[in-house]
Amino acid sequence: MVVEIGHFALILALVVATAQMIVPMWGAQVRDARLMAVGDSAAVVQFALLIISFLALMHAFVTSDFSVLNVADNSHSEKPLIYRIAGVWGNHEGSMLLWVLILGLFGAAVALYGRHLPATLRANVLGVQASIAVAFLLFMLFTSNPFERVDPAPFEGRGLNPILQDPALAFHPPFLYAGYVGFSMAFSFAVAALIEGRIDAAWARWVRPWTLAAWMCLTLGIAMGSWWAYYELGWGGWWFWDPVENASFMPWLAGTALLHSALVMEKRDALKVWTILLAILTFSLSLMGTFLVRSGVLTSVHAFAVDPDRGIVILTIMMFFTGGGLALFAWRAGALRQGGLFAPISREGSLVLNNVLLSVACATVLVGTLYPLALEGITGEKISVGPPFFNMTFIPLMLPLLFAMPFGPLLAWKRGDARAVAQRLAFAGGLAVLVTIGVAALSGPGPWLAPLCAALGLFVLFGAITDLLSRARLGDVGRAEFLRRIISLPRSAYGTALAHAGIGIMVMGIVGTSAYQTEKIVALKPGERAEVAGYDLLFKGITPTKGPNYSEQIAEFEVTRNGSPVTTLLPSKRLYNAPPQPTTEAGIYPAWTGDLYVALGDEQPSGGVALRLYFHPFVRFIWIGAVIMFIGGMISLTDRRLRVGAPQRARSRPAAVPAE
Amino acid sequence: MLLWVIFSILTAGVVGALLWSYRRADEAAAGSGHADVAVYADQLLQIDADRARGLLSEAEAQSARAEVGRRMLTRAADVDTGVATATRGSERVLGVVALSIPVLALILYTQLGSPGLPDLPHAGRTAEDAARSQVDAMIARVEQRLRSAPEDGNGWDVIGPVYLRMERYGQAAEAFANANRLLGETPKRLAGFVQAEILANNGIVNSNAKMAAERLLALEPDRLDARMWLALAKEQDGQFAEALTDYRALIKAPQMTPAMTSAIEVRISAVERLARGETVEPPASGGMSGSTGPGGEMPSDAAGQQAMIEGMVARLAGRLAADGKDPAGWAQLMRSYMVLGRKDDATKALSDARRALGDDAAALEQVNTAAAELGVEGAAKEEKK
Repeated sequence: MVVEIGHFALILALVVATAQMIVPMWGAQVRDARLMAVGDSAAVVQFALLIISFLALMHAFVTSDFSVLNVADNSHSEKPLIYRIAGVWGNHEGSMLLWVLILGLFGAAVALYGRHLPATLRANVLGVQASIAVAFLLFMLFTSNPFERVDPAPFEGRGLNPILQDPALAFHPPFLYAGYVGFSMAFSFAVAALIEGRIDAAWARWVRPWTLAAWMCLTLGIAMGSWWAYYELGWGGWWFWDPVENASFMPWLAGTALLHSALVMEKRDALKVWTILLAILTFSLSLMGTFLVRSGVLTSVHAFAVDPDRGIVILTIMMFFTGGGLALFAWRAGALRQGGLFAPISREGSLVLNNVLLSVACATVLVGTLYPLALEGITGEKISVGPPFFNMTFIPLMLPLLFAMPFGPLLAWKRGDARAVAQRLAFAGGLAVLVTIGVAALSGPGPWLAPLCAALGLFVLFGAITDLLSRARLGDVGRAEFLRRIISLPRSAYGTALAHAGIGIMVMGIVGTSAYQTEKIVALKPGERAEVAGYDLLFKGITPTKGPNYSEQIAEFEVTRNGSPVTTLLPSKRLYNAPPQPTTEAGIYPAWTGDLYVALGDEQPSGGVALRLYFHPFVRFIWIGAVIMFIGGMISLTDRRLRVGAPQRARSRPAAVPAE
Repeated sequence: MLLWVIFSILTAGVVGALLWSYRRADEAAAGSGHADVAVYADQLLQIDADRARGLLSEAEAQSARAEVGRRMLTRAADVDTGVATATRGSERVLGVVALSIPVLALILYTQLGSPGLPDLPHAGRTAEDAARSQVDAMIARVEQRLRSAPEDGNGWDVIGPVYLRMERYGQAAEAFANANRLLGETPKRLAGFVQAEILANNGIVNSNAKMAAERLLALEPDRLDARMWLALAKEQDGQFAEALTDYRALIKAPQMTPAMTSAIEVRISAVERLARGETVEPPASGGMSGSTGPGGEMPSDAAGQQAMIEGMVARLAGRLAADGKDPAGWAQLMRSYMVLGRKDDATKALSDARRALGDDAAALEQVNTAAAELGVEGAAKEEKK
């Protein structure tokens, strides 16, 4: 009965979403406050219904109710509880339910916390948000219904793909979806503004924090996926420029640009039309990510359902919202009033540079991702656009971005003084160069670009610190005053500095692991030794064991460095019972300077075991950086002050930079 | 009954909530002009607060206030029509919505839902467990008798269909073969054997299955399933033209059901492409093995068949991973992977087989030969060593 209640709630959610799509927008059109008010309760009710539905599906997964087709196909009674729960979104149907649930959550948030939004804006936003929900609910109910039943029910389920049975991956989809779907808010607000032909004062105040929340979740979601690929796929790579990864990276790039342009819009009332366009594009890229991943166009772990029909429906949804949004933009953008002016060298100017570089970077990734697909579709020729393409196109775009990054926050609004900022950053730049020369001298030869990139990473990190110190007027005021100031800096300043510092740390990790990685492939028999990056590994042998739903071959290595014991590594290979599929669990010893990484290969005919040994210098910095970015976003999000940028007056002496 | 009561309560709650918010809507709803002024006023307050905290200098506070002032002026230029409390006809709109919600939900649910099916949590399925163990016990008894009296044709005849239903295809094929041998061939037993043999071989119609199908056709010349299996055998042997002729003749047969017709159409288009030298996607291989027989177990749609074949291959792979001392099984697995177009998996199966069979030279030889015949990548490499 619980299952059927869930199913009925899902259907009711569709019907309510339809009402929410029509009634408030109609109300906004005829300016009827009562009809508009219906949108608020519809959004909350829709969310409540989706929660009922989601919990019902989760109940079916937790109790292993194999009369539900989705559970029978994707779960197994022997599976540990956490993966039975994560199994809800570990498959196509359930993940779509999570998608609309998050969509509903954002809609309900507008209804509940948007009391101060102008009534017509709120009504239109809720209407647009509901139209997305309607499209996806229709898609779910008619092509991928999570509540489809089987009668008679099989006695046992088919199990979840074992490589997905992993803690990082259990939480990777919810974060990723929160990011994707979060951008729907920016989209709904953009479309609502275009429908009204006017951008209200409250517009940016709403769009920026929601974009920030979505961006944070997406950052963490992508980082989790990368972290999982690093230790689970067994060759220690953390990013492959795989189309599925790019599908999540493009909305991230566009979302990062949107975050910064929304900032300009909130503080300075400028870049309005561009922000609206970016909002539409960012969500379109999120939809495209969903399409690429869900349609089976790309065959990978993510393509749960290789089903062209579903792909076509998602493609239609994507074309409708992207095409509709852009057409509306083309038609109405002219009606929007342009906002504040600014000089090229100013905080706004630096954010425009950020936007240009990020948009172009996003476009290169788009080309690199779609070109092979288009070529295969047209000529049938299969090509693969791999890391070389992206290294040649993407990285050169990132270098100027990284270089400009520390300058942005230090420049004044409206008119900046580049020379004064450069002076303040000179110390950070010099320190970065010195540290890099030192490290490069110690670490020996590597690619010539590596020290340069590492210096940029350090410069970004030190620049973020400089930003905080100079806001607190280090050097200008006494020590007590400096301390008082640095404590009372607005949380948004700390958020910015942390997020930028996170990027700097991540860049250092990327450079370290890409340029200075050591790799060795050896075959060892028990009792033999191998050496990698100064670590001595003694292979002690392989022991078979059993886990809850798999059997496992665990290899044991005693690791020493210069004769003193370091750790014991236990890389393993698992064979899952249902479905019977092998997975690799790498043995990793994390240290500050880098990870020692051992992956177990096949047994050799000669009797030894093939082993891949890696040393990944600073690889952990990549994910630490992402977490710091997430924390920075959180801190900024707690700063609920209204934000007005104090513009620098013309002809006034270039004095202190405003703290906010 | 309770289910429908809950549905009614849910629906009533939903409609009630919508109507309630309609009635309760703010009589003097603020237009967007009001809302904007409120935002600007808050911004001015914020500037004062920041000034007081020392975040802004007096000069900065001044220019920020001026900035907000400019925005206010620009905003005032926009014409803003007010918002009415309610327009005429709005109650009618709402009435239609309130009525259509339950109606639409009910229509959709009756189309999509399964109100008659109860939940079936795994833990609560003890009765079914008991029934299963009864069947298991029954099978165990028959198996025991067959071990002591292997020439008991009736025992084999009984257990063959049971094995088939339990997806134990290898044992089913053996049981049908024994029954045919001991009790004489009947169409039913022959059909059962062919079906089990094909399923046991992951959709490949091997020579045993082919001969049995020919004998079945001799006994009953208009059997569609036998003709289908033979056409499939020709397709798998690369005799595409003959297979096409057979399929095209089959599709015209008067007893055709729509499901069978569409399945044959899938085969025809696949064979046409194969004949042109194109590669065909995974569902190609032996997709139809048993679907036309009475009580055939194969799902009729292509996707279902593919899922089933993949399932069978996965089961074979699982069995071999647990117990790898089966050279014929490995050869079978490699062949299945090659037919399915999963070349990498075939290569991996080869290396797994070599590892599993490590010390058995004869078995290794068998696997290597099979791999070389199938053209599995890595087969040649290993021989050179």
